[in-house]
Amino acid sequence: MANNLEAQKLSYHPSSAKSPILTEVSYNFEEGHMTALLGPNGSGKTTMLRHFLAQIKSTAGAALIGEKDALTYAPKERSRTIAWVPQNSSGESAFNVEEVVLMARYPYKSTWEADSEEDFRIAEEAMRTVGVYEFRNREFGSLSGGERQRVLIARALAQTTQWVLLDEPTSNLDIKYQIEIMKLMRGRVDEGKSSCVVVMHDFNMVEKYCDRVAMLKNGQLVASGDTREVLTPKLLREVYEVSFEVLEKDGQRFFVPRTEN
Amino acid sequence: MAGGILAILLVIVVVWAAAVGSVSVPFSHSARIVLSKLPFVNSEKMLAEVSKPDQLIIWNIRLPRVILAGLVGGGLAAAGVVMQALFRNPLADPQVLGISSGAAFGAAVAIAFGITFTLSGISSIWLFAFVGAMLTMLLVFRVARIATSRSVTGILLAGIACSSMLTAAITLLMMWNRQKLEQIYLWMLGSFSSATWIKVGFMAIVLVGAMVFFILLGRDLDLLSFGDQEAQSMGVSVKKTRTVAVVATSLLVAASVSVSGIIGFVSLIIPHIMRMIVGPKNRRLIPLSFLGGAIFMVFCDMISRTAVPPNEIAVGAITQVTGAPFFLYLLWKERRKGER
Repeated sequence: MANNLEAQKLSYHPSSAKSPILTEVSYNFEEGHMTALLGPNGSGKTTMLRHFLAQIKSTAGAALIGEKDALTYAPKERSRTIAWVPQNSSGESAFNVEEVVLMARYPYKSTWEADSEEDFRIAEEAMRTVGVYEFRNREFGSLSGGERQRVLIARALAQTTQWVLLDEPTSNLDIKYQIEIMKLMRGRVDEGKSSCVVVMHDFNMVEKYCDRVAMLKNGQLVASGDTREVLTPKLLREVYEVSFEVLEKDGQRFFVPRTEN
Repeated sequence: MAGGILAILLVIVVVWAAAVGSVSVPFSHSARIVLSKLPFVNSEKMLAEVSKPDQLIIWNIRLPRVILAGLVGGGLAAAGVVMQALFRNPLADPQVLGISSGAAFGAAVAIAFGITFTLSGISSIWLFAFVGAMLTMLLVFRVARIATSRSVTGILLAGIACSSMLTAAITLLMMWNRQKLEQIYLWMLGSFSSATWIKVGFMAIVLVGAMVFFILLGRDLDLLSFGDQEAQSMGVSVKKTRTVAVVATSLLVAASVSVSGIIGFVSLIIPHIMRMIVGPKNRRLIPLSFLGGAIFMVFCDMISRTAVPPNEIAVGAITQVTGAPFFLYLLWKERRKGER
């Protein structure tokens, strides 16, 4: 089943905002890829993702999951297709890590169905994958920012969806886990288990792990395509107003910002 | 496990509470009277040693009161769990919905204007209280929906606004009818002294209905602890869950307050204590909080009847005396958490 996430002339302009947050953004997130959704703060990246999660309703245009508008999916059905790793979790939750990860099995359950052995196995595997199994009995609310972020990633994995949308998944992680998480998601894409959209600001990570790039500025799509072709110092200067120097080593490019004027 | 212990404890407290009072009845007799009403029990044999007056006192006067206290206490505690889950706030309490004030206003109107009648066991004050609670609930929902689409904050603010408005109105009613001041004030403090089997039946029906929905929504409420957006991304129909839960809670609180007056802190402290014991899973926490709340309220009501005979202390005052220090302790703990 071809399940691309496609934005069709997506516009979002809530009455409370002076200027539109998204303006006729058309882009097709193709399955089997790890796409980086880039852009400065406030350029509309998270807003764009939220349309696919049916958290907001577009002013014009549509966000499609496969052939269907994201808004027409039943919540459980949509949740079996797309998982979301939010930027910051709002959970001040008294639930422990294992219980939190098991919550991801909700869309597969009828009202009275208890968690099965299969669910526990999936949750355990997800927890081991991101290295949170050791503290599965700790309260979620007592974890550090980085630990929480890993639990949220485990939760998204336990949701066993085709798509995983990650909103700055590495912002609270130390360098070791940044690399591990990106490697992990890249691996899953290569194995055909997942397709990913990642919002992030680290171009070296994007260069290394994401094969596609979509760049937003002021709510408009300004560039998209293969990372190697699209991600250039010229584009970055235009969009971010920062000059970058590109160093090349072993076929990989490294983006170094020029801090002097 | 915890559920079994609490259930046994509840039965013991109920029988005990029925036994004590101005006329003291042995515990075993109280137990026999309760048992005699169960199906498949030979009631004549069971009641052979129990005197007729004792039977009358316990069955007609004390048991309705004790059981009503249990149902209200349990109901308020369960409603408290749901409110805390919905508002993601450990200090959320059904009273913030403004429903309690609505009930109090209804009762105050009935008392102040001398509208006192009893229609086949249903007193006018009770009726007015329930209608007042329901009207307030509709008003709060109405305002909340108009005011903002982010329904949680909207309902909270609308509830608080309506609540202070109604409290002011009650104060005015009391000022204009000084001779009724004491009666209105005592109603507001809460009491089970007017309990009847009809009230018990009414409360039981509303309670069972609400509890079914609460437990049905238990898992959704678990996920809502992560906020609407995350819950929705995991498949929860957030709007539907919120609407059903708020309506069921409101009905339950309206029914509770209308039969007993405003009894504070049960809905706040019992969920906290139970959460410490059984954890945050709502499907477990809700029924266990019901049991805990029921035990607590039956006990408080027993103290209210027996502490200073022949007078009664308002049961609301007793729950507040026990509850307020605990509330302060929670705040203190929260602050400590913030400092770390």
